[in-house]
Amino acid sequence: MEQLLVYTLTPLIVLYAIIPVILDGVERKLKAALQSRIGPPVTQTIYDLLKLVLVKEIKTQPTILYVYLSLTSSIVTGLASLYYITLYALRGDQVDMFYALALFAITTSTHTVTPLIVPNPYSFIGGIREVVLGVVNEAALITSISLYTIMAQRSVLKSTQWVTIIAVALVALTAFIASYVASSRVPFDIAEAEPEVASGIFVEFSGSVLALNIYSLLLRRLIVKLLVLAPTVGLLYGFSLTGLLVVLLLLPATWVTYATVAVILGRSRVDVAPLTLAKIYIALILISITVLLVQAYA
Amino acid sequence: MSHKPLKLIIIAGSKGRVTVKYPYQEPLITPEFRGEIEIDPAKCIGCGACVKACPPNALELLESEKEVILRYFVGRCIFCWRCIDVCPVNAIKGTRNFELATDKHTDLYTLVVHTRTTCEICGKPFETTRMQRYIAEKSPVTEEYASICPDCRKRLLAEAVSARRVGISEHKE
Amino acid sequence: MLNLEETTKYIELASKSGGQAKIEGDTVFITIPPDRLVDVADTIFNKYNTSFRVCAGVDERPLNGHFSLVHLFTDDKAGLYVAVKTYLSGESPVAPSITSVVPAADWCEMEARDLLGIEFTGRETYRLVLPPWWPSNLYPLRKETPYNYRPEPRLESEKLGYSREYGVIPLGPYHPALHEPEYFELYVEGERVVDVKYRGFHVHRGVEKLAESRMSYQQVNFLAERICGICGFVHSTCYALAVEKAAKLDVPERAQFIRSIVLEVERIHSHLLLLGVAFHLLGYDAGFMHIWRIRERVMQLAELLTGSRKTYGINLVGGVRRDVNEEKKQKTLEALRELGREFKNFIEVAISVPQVKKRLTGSGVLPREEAVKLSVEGPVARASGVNKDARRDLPYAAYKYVSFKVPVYTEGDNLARVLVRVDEVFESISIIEQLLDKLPGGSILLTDFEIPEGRVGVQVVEAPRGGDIHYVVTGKGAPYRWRVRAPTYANIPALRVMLRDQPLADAPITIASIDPCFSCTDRVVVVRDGRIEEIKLTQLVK
Repeated sequence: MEQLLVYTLTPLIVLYAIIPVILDGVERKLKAALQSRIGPPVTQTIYDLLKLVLVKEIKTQPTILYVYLSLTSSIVTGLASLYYITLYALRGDQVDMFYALALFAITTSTHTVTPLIVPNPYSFIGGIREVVLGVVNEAALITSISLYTIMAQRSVLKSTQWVTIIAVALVALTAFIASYVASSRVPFDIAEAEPEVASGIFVEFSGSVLALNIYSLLLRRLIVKLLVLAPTVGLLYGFSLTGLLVVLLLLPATWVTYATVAVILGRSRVDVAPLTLAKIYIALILISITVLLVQAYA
Repeated sequence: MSHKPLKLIIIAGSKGRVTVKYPYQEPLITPEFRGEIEIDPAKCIGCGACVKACPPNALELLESEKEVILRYFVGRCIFCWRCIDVCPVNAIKGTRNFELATDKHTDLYTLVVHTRTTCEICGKPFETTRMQRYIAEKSPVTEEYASICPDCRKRLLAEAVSARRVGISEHKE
Repeated sequence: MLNLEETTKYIELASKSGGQAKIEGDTVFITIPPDRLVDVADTIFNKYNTSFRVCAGVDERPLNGHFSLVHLFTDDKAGLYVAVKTYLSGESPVAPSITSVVPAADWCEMEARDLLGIEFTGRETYRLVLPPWWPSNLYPLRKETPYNYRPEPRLESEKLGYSREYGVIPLGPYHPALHEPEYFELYVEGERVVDVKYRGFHVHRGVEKLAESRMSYQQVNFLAERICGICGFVHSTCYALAVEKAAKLDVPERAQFIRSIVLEVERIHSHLLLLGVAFHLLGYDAGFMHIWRIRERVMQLAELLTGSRKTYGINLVGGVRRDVNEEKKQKTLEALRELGREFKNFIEVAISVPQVKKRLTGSGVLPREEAVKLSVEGPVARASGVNKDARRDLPYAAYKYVSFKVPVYTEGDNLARVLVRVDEVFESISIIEQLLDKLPGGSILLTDFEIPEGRVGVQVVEAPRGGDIHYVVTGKGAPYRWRVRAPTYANIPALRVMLRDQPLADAPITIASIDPCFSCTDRVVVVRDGRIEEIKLTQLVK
């Protein structure tokens, strides 16, 4: 069994490494369609990354080595996290999910603190804003997905009690919101927010560092979607090889939905977003926990 | 929250895609569009009316002993077509051409070279040969002055006037 | 047409102050001695409730041995222009400052000081327009200074006004995300802006000097059009109207109608442009793309009517160069119908986006009193409850033949400024339809006319961003003096009020909400600025 897993999972990891780049191309095409444009070809993100890797590097920042290190570790932990999510989707062992969450926390934190390493005021302002939002959102993401995983494990849907279903629905909602926010799309794309005040990290980097940063962002987008899809499919369908296939099939649909939401919304104000989100999360999580406790005692 | 923002999808759907694959597709310009100008060297007489009217100095007259050159530098041109309005012989034609990028600086210049006549009296370089012919055609009265430069004309006039004055004053005395 | 009672008021004021007044057309020219200037300005601005437009220094030494300073007001209720002129000494010109009674005169006084060497008493003076290294005794607009003279520039290192108490966020002058060289220094406490410094005038182009020295009357139209890349036709119309007023030319009605039509086409394109940019700044890029898709139709309409998408190049002194025939008229009407429908459909969607609505509402408030005090222009004024619009108050071109509403909002926030523009787009569509309907026959261009020397013409044209004023003194074959003031010049000082005590995140949209055009504002001298000078904006807003 273990041997088989290694054989199936290795090509999957390679697939995971490519998927986000292609789906980003799809997202750009969709965005263009919603804006009445022709837009770039689906393969444009690949061209962009290749171009960035191939151009001559202009090393302006003295801390560039640390930036490389933090971005690379972000990508490596991200891929490792994807490995454990897949294991979870196959076997339904919640320990795998907790590993995945822990690794994803490292991915996010290394990616988020990168702008802070760059000695530039704009990058720093953008970075601090990302960190504030990240702290709020990551807490909610980990809490809600942990709860979600625990519930999905118990196959709660078979119970006929409506209170349980409400609790699960609330947790799922929290998890989906948190995963949307973590995907750094409008209204929460704070690194790029307020282009005239702080263009953040994207202005500071060029060449392969920029490519790594973009790639790391796209990989995170993939992980956050799989993090909510895996327990959802597990809950509704069950954990198996077909379950994993369903997860992978649902992935493009989820990606497109997130992209559509991003197009029809504007950017929220950077100092308001974390506070509002914190309030919503606390309310949702508290309500669902209370519902669960009430049910347990009743 | 209202559902109104979602109407964007309907609007985008009904409008389709409005951008074009320029430069692989015809550019969207109307017949009214004003682009680069074309000077017909066969018609131009080198009078310099266009040079006087040109707001950004895109048209210039460069003068040497033997030649007068009308130089059009498209890099400065603002495509106002004032030169077309003022040209007495309709030598300038407007085109719809606006794709003017080039990797050779000299492509941006158009030169019309005119030969010059010399003044019959002082021998200094004077108007262009074509200009002289044009004036002769337009107004036969000026024929006898046509080949004399303005300086000499002024001198001739002054001499004539003073000769008459002198004549008058002699008469008085 | 003129209200006699209104004009007598000014004539009496002039004679009471030991000066004279004369009326020509819709302009009251008052000449008073310098020592009475402050009183007269106070009465005209604060008692008669006029708007201050600009002041212009003129080097009249070749004519009469004096410098002169002209303060231009408009009495919007009476439809009158008021030009208050004082003669100053030809050797060492000194004028009293009127900033104590008219705060809006701050910049133009400093501009006259920089460019003509007129000193002002009763106020703090600083260098506004010229770069710090510019030789102190070289005044570009004095007639003896050649237009193509360039002193050797000295590059000096940049000096920022660091503050110990607050964080400093420099915005510009060359910021990767900015469209034009402007420099704002935002002082922040956490996420709140506590103060703002502004340094502009980095790209002076010497437009006024160039027109006065090298160009002819008809050439200046094309130069004027290039003052602004967005509302250039406003400038060329304003210039042409000012010269025509000075020379008392009777321009064919048809030409005036065509001018008004093109002005409104330009207004629609400019407002749509700003709305798109505003949505982009709010992160609603779909709004940006769709508004610009709708705007593309206006650009094509402009090309159909004038031959060019922008910088139309159809204005001349005496009329216009392109006619509107029946075919163009039908095409225009059709395009406008479609445009109105699409815009209405889309703007409802865009304004309903929760982030857009929330971030526009209540941010960047400019109270009415400040708006009046600073004589702000256009949509900025109208969003703060100041009901002024030169198209209605000082009718020019063909605006007296059409009826339209002037949208006024009292909230004074970014949403109000956006909504004023939205409403104006619909009004402009209706204006063009009315004008096309009433378009009279006849010629479109006056050909034989003379422009006598020494006449004065003042003209205000309502640009998309507000009132635009041109002051022309005629000369031999070219303007003797041509003073231009674009609306952004009057609106920038109001930004300090709008930005203060606001979240930093709202600063870009607030700056954009005045629809700033920095190239219009900076238009005078041919230099590159190497350094940022410290100016206390406290001097600007008193």
